[in-house]
Amino acid sequence: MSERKFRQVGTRPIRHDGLDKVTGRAQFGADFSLPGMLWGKVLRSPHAHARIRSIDVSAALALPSRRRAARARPISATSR
Amino acid sequence: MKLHVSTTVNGEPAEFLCSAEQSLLDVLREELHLTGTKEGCATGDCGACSVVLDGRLVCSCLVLAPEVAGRRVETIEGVARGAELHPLQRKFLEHAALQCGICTPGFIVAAKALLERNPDPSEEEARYWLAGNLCRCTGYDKIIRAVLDTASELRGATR
Repeated sequence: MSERKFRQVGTRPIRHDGLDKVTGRAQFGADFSLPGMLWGKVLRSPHAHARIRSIDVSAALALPSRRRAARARPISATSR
Repeated sequence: MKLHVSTTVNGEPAEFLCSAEQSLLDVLREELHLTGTKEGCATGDCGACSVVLDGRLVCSCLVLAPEVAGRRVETIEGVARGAELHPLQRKFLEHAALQCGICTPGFIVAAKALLERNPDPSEEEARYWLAGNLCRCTGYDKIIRAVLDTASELRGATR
């Protein structure tokens, strides 16, 4: 078998985003903010594969700074 | 009511307004925009928010922001000296001791606190010290190797 020269195999490259991550400079989703940015929260069903009978968004509506609470309709079989 | 707090962060004077119940983690990230300190659990279990407060390693999510008045806070942002990485940061890169990177600032801050107390930790001591930092990617081995390798490099440098 002939010796093959590889450029990457057998080397120990340093990950490209590593420098930002070890210095704390890396911007993850939660590290990012823009002026006037809105924050959302998804209210999920406590039961898997269950029929949605009602959605209670009163806690969201009671927040002083809320902009909007959107109510989902059950996803029908046709929209899958 | 907002409280006005004067403190020192990474050697620089810093001031912020906060509410009495706000955590140090919250203020570091939201008010001082030092987002290198991560929120993992916000209940003191994961160590992602580790900072050093007056020389003591703490979870910043368990410290109330007004408590840092007149004290010294050190975060991941202060670990490198300008463009020059701390040996721990270099060794974490060399040993591939990070993947997603969320736990990394906490590990580096905690490991630095370890090496400042004990320049020659055994593997067991290093694992015990870092038991308060959780990592879901690396399996810890590479982190421990990076820390022990840093320790031996630093010991060599001071000899």
